[in-house]
Amino acid sequence: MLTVIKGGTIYDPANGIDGEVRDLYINNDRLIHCPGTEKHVDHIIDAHGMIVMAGGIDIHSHIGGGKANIARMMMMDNSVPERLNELDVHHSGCKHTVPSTLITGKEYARLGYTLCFEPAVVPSNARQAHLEMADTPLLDTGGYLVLGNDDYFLKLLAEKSDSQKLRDYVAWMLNATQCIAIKAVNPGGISAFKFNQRKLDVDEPHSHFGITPGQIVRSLTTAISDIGLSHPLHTHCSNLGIPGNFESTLNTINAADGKPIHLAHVQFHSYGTQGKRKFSSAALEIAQAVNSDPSVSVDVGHVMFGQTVTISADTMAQFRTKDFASPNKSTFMDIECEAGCGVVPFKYRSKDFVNALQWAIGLELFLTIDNPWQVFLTTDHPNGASFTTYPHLIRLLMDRNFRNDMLSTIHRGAVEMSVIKDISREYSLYEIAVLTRAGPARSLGLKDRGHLGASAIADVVLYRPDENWDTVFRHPVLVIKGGQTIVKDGEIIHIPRGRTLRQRVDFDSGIEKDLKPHFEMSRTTRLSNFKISDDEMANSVGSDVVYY
Amino acid sequence: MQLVMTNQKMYRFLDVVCPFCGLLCDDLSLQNESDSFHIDSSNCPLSKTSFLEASTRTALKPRVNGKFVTRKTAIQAAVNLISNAELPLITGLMTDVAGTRNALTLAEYSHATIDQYSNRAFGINASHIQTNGGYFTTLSETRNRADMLVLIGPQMQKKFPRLIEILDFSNPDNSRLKRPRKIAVIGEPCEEFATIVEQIDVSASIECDLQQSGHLISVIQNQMEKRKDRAPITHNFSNSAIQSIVQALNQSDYAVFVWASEEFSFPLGDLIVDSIFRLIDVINQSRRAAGLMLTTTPSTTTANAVSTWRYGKPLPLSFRSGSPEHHPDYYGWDSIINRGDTDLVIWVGGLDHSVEMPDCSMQKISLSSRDSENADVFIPIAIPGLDHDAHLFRTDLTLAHYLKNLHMNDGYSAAETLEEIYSQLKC
Repeated sequence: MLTVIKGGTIYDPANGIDGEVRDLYINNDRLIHCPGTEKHVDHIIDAHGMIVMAGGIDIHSHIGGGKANIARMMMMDNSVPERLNELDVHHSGCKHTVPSTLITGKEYARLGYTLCFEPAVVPSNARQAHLEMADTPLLDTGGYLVLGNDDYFLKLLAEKSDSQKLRDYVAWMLNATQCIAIKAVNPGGISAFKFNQRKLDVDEPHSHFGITPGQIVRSLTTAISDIGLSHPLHTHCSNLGIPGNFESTLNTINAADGKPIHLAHVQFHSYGTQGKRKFSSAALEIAQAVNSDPSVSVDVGHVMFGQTVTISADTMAQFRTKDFASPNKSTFMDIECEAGCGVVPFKYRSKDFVNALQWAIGLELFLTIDNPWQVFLTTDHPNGASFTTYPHLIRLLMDRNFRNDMLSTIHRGAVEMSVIKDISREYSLYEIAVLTRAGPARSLGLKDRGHLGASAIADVVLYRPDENWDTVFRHPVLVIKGGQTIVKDGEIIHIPRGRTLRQRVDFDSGIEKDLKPHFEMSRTTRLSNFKISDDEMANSVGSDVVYY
Repeated sequence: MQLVMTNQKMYRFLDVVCPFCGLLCDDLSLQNESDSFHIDSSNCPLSKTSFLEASTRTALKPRVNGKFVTRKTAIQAAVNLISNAELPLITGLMTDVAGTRNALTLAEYSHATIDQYSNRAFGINASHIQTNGGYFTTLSETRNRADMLVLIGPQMQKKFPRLIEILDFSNPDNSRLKRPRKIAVIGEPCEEFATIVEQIDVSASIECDLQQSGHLISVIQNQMEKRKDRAPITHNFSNSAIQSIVQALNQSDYAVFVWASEEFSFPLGDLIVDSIFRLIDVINQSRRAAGLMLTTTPSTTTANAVSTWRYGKPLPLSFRSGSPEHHPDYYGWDSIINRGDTDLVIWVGGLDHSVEMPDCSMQKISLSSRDSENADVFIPIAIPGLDHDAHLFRTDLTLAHYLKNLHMNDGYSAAETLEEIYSQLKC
């Protein structure tokens, strides 16, 4: 099946194409070079006047796993039934702060996204995360494995085990859980909270294991580098949400010792203590650190105003915010000596000084980090806001007048404390394509994703230009996934099953000799049952594995 | 799970997952000998009996109106009944993730109401999460960190025979902890628990009617908060025992409260769960504590997990309006049958070795691994994990196990059977 998309204006940063009118050729599920005039074209899509980009990639969005399900249960009053009536599919769901799986897939597809990464897969919960993501159609998915709070790793570190053993453990766990990257959430802090420590600075020892978050970051970044993972340590830094935490963030960068590091939802980690309220923006300090070090990347975790629910493995931080819960309820879970989970509903208010400044800090980060390849567009769904707000966020980045109009609606004190009003930068379409496609794909080592060159997976989105960038990005004209049209004029017309992306890793299988007794003594599951195989993924979970 | 061939006729399965209680113990060793399976690694009476019964069950045949028919005919009869039903009810749901997925799809297509057989007890916990949240823990976390265990309703020992063993509380001097572990027991003891008590150090035991336990827990909370203005000691609770519990909680690093909400299946039983979480909240202001909820059948946690991610809501769900609606009391399977609000009951079994399809006057379809003589249409199905691969969720809502097929019996799974029915309904 040969399809040609004719005359679209292409924005494909991975191939250096910035708004050039070109034709694209799709052979089955892949993009190809122009096949020559002798080849029969089965289908022609007229894209004249359209903006054409690769399918969107969300590098950090909580779409699967036990915490999402707890959030769904807690926010049931906030849910609205939603159906896919336009198809012969008898599946409905609920649309709310954490949508049900089918609706998640549908909403992402309607925004032109075709690939999404769950950034906090707790090892023992990996199977559930994959089961949920397999029930999220229209999207390919992947998971980041949470390490750095698990007893086994902390014990290895405390015993000063050699780096080879740490490396093998990290690689083994990644392999066993079918994940693509490693995430550290409040390194050591979740574990420390279980030992009743309520705060843990980057250089502060864990009361039981005696090691610091800095040591954990250093050893994990080293292990990741040794294993050869594409994506650097995906780091949720220490002291999330605490005024003055930008120093923890800078210290975390330093702890990586020059090795690549990714800072997740960095907006929540860019707070100072200036001003009469002792809460200020430290976005410029963080941006300066990113601008001066190409080995650092960030996703922003932008805040939007309205009701949401915060879900995180960082029980220590979530417990700290429980008194701000709205509505007033919260759930915490200590999980399998590996990690935790905290679910706290939250309402961001534009007239609240702190919330308004959080909103401004996110924009400051976007607008002051110079290199778009070092910053990715996220709201840390659902923590800062739902992913469905992305078009609005893109408009804020691309339209200074709109941004200033919005600025006039928020708490005045926050406006005074922010430098946004003085920033004239407006993102270009090319840069938006970097933030939402090319950048995430490159960071994750996905050579056939996030671009429109020959041999790429044919995930292609056509947008109709409009003065309002929110309208442009909220209503793609056409979304093609793997060569098949899945969305046409906002309607879902085909529902393909997604696949699971992961990276192939090597390790010394001798690590199992040490792990087996650990599983038998300390865990309540056997090692052989813990591992998720490719066959299980394909035949029972319902998602084929794709290796990178 | 691993398979070892011991000789040409005997197989040994290692690390087998037991699907017969919510703990999903996965360390069983099974010997296959003379067409039966024996557990030789555990003394769990529940799993020993259940595996033996399952491995020696007789092959069942499909029936329609009491007469043996082919599977194809039985499927067609089921399709006809569902097509003609106005208010179908799918219940039982003693199945795995795949079975639940397909049962939900069928429910949505046929505008049915769907509920899991043991869901009313689970609903007590689900309701608390919805309205208040709470503090939860898991089996490994309890095994490794808890230095204080408060068992509320020791009858749970009957349904979770290996609970104390899995939590490693039969060993008071756990080397991973700073101090010897303590157990407090609230409720009516049972014979099974008394046997265990002989082996472990129970620092305090308060025998009481479980209906009073919520009040007792409030008393403990008040003592911990040093409040004298609330809830005076009543019901002849032993003050010294209460003081022992309070003292132990005040000294503990990680206290875990354990209950099986099935034990609270009486009016206002949910208030006991509320009082447990209030106490845990008070402790967490200065120390650490959490709750470990036990659910008897893994299919209950499984069905609710799948329902919540697929539809944003736990069970029961009704699709009568075309969209998922969740009203636990109104759409509970027993409420619907009791008020005659259904004309067709579709029973989905598999792990229903100890429960029977409800006896009611409505037309009935039974997909089950045990015979259902009172069903209009009976289609035998396989047992998850024993006859086919299966995913089941453990009681702590965190860990899903993958149970690999032991090939005890041939037969179609619930998922396959439901898929066939759904496919034919769509034609």
